[in-house]
Amino acid sequence: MSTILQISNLSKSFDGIQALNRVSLDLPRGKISAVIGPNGAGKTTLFNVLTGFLTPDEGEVSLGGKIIEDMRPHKLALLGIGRTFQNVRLFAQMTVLDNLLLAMKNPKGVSLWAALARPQIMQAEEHANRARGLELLELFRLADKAGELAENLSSGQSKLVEFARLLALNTDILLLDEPMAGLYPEMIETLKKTMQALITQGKTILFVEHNINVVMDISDHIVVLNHGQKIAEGPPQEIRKDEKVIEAYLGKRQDASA
Amino acid sequence: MVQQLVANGIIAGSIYALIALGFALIYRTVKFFHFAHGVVYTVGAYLAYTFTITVGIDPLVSFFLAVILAGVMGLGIDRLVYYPLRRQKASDLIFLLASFGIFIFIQNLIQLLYGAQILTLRRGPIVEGHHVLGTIITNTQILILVTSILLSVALWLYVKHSKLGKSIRAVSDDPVAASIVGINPERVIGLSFFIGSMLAGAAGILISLETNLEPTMGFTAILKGIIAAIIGGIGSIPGAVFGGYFLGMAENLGIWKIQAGWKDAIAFGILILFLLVRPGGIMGIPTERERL
Repeated sequence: MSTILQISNLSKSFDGIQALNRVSLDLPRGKISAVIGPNGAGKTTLFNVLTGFLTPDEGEVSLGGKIIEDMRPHKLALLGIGRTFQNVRLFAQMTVLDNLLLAMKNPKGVSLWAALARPQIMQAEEHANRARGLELLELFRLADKAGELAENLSSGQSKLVEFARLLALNTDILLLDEPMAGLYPEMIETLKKTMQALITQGKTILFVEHNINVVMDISDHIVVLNHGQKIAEGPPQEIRKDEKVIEAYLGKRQDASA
Repeated sequence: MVQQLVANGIIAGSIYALIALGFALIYRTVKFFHFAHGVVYTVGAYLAYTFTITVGIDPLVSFFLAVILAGVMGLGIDRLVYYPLRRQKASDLIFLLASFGIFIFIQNLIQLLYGAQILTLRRGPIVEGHHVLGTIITNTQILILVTSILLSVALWLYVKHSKLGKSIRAVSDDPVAASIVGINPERVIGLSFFIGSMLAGAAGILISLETNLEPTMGFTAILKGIIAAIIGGIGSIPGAVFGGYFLGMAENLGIWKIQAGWKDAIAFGILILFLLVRPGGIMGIPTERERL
């Protein structure tokens, strides 16, 4: 099992609170990994560091064996690390389809000169991108919303469009921050199938999720954080039985549901 | 008489439109009032003066150089002053104060270097203008009108269709979302300062061909530019052009029956009216309150 993203000794603190405390983990290539843990465990902080929105106090991240020197968000996106947000970030003033089109790469580099000099090529490319965008929206039965301004979507729809935009960006690694939260059960099934389909295409997924059934169901690998520290790591069957995990996280849940 | 006022309105509007365009482009990406945009306009004019009159380079080459340098200056202001403030997450008020500071600093610098007196870019005898539809229009005025329209259309097409234009829209909408789809917000901001400042420089040069140069010329210019941008809908590219011409026309037709000294009062009267009735401008996005 090869590692695509290697995280070594990441630490980050805010005003004396240790949000991440020397967290190391190897993200297996072509697998679905989940990060779980109680609220405030450091899951979102981990995502924010991995996507360049926070600078770690110490530690480093390697992609395909090479340390990433420039951790600015757009650089990481171009390197192949894409993400969604817990609080969806769409381009509110743009149409749903334009949100997706912006994420697609234009191999010919659409400069004004290219647009003027080779309009046919431009048009063909634009056409292909639009078709691809509609296809992605159709995955979540949102194709009829293509022309709608993103700000007019419901929160569930926004969430799915943000995920579709990440698919449009077509990165090797997808970091999903609570992708299922607020979705109705049928859509959760669609999302699970989509995640599994992405894995067969060679993508790597790391996701944060509170819905423990989903996590146990589709994850190949689970990382458990608590108070900024990694307390366990392994396949679902092992995590289910791990004493420390049950104590820190699953135990509480079982109590609550009992 | 009316025709001449309309013609004057169009010419004034062309200049306002250029200033408002640059201002709007920059506003879109940074969301604060770049007041120092006015002094970039002044610097454009003085650079053109320096190259043509002091150094004696061919006017066209001079103007081209001056426009590029105005762009570089705008970019420099952003990198040296605004960028560090952005890193510190400074408030809008701090940005506005910094912008005023830059404006006054550079304006005083110009005064020190060139003196406070009026200078002129024009050379040779004054040529009588063309008679068109009962008005007299000079070659300079035609140049102003044509340049302004060409630059406005070019910018509008660019923002609407190019990758950069789309990036500007994206950063304007949500810089965080833009960065996760691989757009570097800082690069987009830098480019909008560069392009916007070139437009200001061009406007400064054009107006000094028509009238004169003085160190304080940027003050009224940026006020009018901001009014035009607000009338059109702050941040909107076609809105800025529309607002520019609307303001130019209103000012000039407004003095049809009253004294010319009321021009500025008309401009600010319109501003206040818009702020009260339609703060989102004509082509801007309606504000929350208007929508309700």
